[in-house]
Amino acid sequence: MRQLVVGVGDGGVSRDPDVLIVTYALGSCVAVMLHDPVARVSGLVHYMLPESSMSSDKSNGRPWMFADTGISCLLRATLDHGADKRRLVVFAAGGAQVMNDNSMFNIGKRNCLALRKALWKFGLVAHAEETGGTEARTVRMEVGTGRVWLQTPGGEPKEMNARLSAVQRRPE
Amino acid sequence: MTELNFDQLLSGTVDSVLETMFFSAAWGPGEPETGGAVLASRLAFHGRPCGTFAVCLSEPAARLLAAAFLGEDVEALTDSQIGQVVCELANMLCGSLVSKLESEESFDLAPPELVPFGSETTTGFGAPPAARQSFEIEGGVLTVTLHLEAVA
Amino acid sequence: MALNIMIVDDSPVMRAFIRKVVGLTGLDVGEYCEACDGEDALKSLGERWVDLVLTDINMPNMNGEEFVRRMESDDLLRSIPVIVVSTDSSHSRVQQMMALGAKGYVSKPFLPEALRDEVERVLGGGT
Repeated sequence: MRQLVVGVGDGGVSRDPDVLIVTYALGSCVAVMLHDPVARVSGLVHYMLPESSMSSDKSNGRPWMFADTGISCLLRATLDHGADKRRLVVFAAGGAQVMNDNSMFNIGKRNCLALRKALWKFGLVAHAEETGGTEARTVRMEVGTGRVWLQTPGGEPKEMNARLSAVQRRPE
Repeated sequence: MTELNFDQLLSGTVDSVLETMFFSAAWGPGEPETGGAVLASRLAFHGRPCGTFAVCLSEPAARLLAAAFLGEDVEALTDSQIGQVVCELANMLCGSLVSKLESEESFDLAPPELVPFGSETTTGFGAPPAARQSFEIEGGVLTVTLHLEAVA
Repeated sequence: MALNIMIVDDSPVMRAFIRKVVGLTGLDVGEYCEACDGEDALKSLGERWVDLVLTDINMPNMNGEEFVRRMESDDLLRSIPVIVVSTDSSHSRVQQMMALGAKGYVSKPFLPEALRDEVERVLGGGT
């Protein structure tokens, strides 16, 4: 399989079933992954910060860097590739508390809250989520099947199981 | 209950409500608003115990909470919606707190109302509040006040 | 087949929130019907059929307890499933509402997915 590596503050979408989307070292950052099982479209955003209002300059140049603009970009790109929002399966990982960050501005926690806020705004909810904790994570997503694997340092890859709604579980 | 327990219950309730339905968080203690653009809401509760509960928050903070709650852009909100969200915030904080004070017996909440800033802590009880705390949140400060009716 | 959903709460913004949560289920909703209290809700139920009612408890004019009691005493309305969505999570209140005929109960504050799951469970599609 060909790898499409998504870096920090970036995103990517594909319809190529031979592609594996990968993003590494999710510490306080969060990765959101979308998959349409009928259109076989998959996309991933690796955002660093919760709100684009934190820096208007950066949000203009790097919208994938923030939860609000990044998830919006991901959703739009996924729909542009032929996905149907009602069919989307949503995965999320990351948002760890790293480097003894017990401050009131814990970026990992704020990124997790921003994740839920953005998903709520766009009428989505995560079907599988591995967030919080203290460990960095790496995620890999098969574009064609929508299967996602998560790995922590020193650990084995573990598949994330999506808990679908009753409507999504019905055969097409 | 000791004063310390009330404060702990209050801050735990604020954390829970803000994170669950407002996708927000309290970032630590804050200084209460002293004026300016501020929204306040108050409601009474009846059961065991009885009392009043009030919230007060700066207008920018109220806008951000309302936008998050409704899943809308801040610019799209009306003043009416923001006021209604502040009332619903008071309702949820009060209900959640009172449920913890007495988890076995049911209680009634009066409808929350927007009130002029400064009057939200006026009650007929004559006693100081059982608890009052201010929290720094995105956009400003949230102050919550709990008054309990003295038990005869 | 499209479902008609009734949301009963004296807070317009809470009704909007619940409506958005129902949207997360992906159910085919034909019509949302909103009411500000039990009295308003009963009037609406006399004019249209709904497949699910979500109701608060603390409301003016007629509270949720009386509203559910009236639904249960009506031959036609008692077949409509009711989910209570309330700040009152006391043990006695939950028991009382379930005994009156409610099929589900969600305490505020709630995660959107928690209410979504309860709607799916009560309508028979959930696990």
